[in-house]
Amino acid sequence: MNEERRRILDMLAAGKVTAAEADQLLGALGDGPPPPAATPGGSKPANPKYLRVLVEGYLDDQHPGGKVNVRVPMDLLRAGVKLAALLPAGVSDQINAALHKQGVDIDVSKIKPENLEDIVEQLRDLTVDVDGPQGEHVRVFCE
Amino acid sequence: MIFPPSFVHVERGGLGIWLPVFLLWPFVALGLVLTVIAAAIALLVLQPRSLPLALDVGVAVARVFCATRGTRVEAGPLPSPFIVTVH
Repeated sequence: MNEERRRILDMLAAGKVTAAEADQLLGALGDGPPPPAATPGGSKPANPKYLRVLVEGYLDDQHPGGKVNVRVPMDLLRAGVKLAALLPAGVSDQINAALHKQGVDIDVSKIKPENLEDIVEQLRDLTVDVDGPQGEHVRVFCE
Repeated sequence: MIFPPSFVHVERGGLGIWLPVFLLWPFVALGLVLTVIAAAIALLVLQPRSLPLALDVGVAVARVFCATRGTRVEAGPLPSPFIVTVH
């Protein structure tokens, strides 16, 4: 349970807010991803198993009310990084150039398998939440 | 031990179909073995030092294929998006 939700429930338990007000406050927090479960030995949440990308609302002119929901296993990311590490330098340069064209400045040759767990560790706390100008809502998170 | 995808579930508008991908395993394995043998022979003749790298790439590609289990893609207009799940 995250800090905000716990605080609201504490306020409800202490009688500082009514159930309806607590419901409104919880609703205002949004229906974000459920917080990861804590590991038995400490306060750190368990490792995420999936990367989720959600796009809701406007997709294009033909799909004003569409939805895209992609779930990618973390194992696939791990295997992909290991494969990318084996790519010759010339191939990496081509991938970097293609990514740069799309506005993504990442040097894939610098992503090494030994750094992979650090990347996954950082992804655990990552949540990207973007509201677009045409009503589209993009969320990226791990679960 | 990791296994390649066994089933792919495709769903549209409440209608779903399970595709038994595991039936293709023997053919994929046969193709992989033949490719590895052909690549090994070609590399031994043309560039012997690249052989270990080629084997590593082959193993890495197989791992990526196996790791697709659990992938789910849901896309399209509401209320009946197209859903593909790899099991």
